[in-house]
Amino acid sequence: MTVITCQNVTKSYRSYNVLNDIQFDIKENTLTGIIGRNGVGKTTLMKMIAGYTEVDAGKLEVFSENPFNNLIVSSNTVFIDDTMTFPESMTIQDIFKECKRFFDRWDNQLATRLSTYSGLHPKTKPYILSKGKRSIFHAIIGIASRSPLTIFDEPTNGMDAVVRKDFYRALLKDYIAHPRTILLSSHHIEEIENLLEDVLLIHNQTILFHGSITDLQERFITLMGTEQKLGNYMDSDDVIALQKIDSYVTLTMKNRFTEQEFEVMRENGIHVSNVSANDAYVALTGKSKGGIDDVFN
Amino acid sequence: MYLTKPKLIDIVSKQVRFKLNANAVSFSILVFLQLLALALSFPSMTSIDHELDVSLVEVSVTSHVIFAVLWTFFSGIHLANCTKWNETFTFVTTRFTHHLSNFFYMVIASFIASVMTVLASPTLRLLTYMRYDEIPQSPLTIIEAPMDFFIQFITAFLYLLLFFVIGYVIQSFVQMNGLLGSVYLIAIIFSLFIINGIFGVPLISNLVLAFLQERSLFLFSLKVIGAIAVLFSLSIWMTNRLEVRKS
Repeated sequence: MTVITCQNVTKSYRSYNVLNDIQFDIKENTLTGIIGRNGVGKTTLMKMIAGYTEVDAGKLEVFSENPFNNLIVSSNTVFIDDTMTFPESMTIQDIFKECKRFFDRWDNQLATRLSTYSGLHPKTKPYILSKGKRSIFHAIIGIASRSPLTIFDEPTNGMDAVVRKDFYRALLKDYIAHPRTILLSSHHIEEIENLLEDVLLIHNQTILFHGSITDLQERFITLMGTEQKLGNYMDSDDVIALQKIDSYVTLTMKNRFTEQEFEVMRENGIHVSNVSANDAYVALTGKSKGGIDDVFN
Repeated sequence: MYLTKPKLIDIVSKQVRFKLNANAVSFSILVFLQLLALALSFPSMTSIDHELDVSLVEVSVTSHVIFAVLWTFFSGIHLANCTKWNETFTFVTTRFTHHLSNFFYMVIASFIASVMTVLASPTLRLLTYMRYDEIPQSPLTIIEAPMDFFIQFITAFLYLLLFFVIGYVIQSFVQMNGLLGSVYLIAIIFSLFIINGIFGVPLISNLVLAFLQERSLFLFSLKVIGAIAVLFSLSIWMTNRLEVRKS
């Protein structure tokens, strides 16, 4: 079953076009990463899905309903980001009580255990927490609510590396035990690539890629060797990224090679390797020319 | 996939409860203001004729009324601000259920404020008795004239709810238009005075007098309920497309 259907959706803020004619479907019970460079419209897209802002044109459906001002969508969705606000007078314990009343699938025991593990005292008021601790608190609400559609917009902002690892592990464990549709955006794609099933890559106001992590990785290949050996490939239109340190070159290219061609490359001393999801993402969204290296050349 | 099918009434009642919990501090402020008003209005004896040994104890609930009106007005502004808007959307809501629950919250808060205001008079009379062994003369005691007491309560409740909604609609307007909202608002009020000055049409004073001069409780109630309905609908209309967690 499809949980989110997006057809020809366009969204602008005044004269600035954020998303243009985007289309995709997200299936039930998948963990999808929303990735893209800063300011490409990841948050805007997720806010439209949560019904927080309206689409300008096109059709967006969540649980077969228009999410804007929709009580069914709101009842089955939780949106976690670092701008969540809670009443200043309420403690963590009070907020968990409210969550229990509002979210049908809320697991209060899990929320309490996670907050104890994270060192959050139940009598603490969230507004006095540090940025990292506040992000942990928000993440706990996201996990424990077990909403059929759970949206995390850069949930690890402010968390240190250890806590981020714990969060991803907790999310994965709970997702396996209680499958649901999860959207997760993060700048640390290298940290979440083993977690994600699908990736939705937004670039230049459109969806550049939507598919499995493996499909994304298989689109590219990395060749490493001396400039002399890679000279034939460097001028190819398939080159996505080129890095040169002295005479040693690293090329990230579109993968159009056959196994026989790889064998020839290896015999010629060219090192062939698969790209990580992060490299594939950088390759798709970065510039082959005019990159940061050119600033120093 | 099993989806939660919520009922509007359930969500609204959960939100009202959440808002009552979240704004508990606001009620503490109301209690503080009423105690302050009590201190300010504490009956003192004034000697008006020394030869006949006549003294006057005057009891007035004006401070209680003023504080209650100010409390409801600023509570209305507070309730419709951006933070409260985002707080509600942390849980289950739509823009409409948010407004509806806010309205019920305002009804409850106005009810409590009006009860406190109306009870200020018997409290002061009791304090006077305890202090001076005299009970001030008043046509409005709940035992002697329960209907008058009831009218007093209804009037206070409707006025307080009206001021609550006025504060709410002003803040909704500001929220919709951002920083320019305040400028627009001042311009609108200023233009009403200009209309008065140039064309001699006292719109504001006519509007205020329409409520103040009304002698029939039924017509007064109709006018206030009508005004509340118009203002509240305006507030819903203004914010029905408003973004949540606007960056």
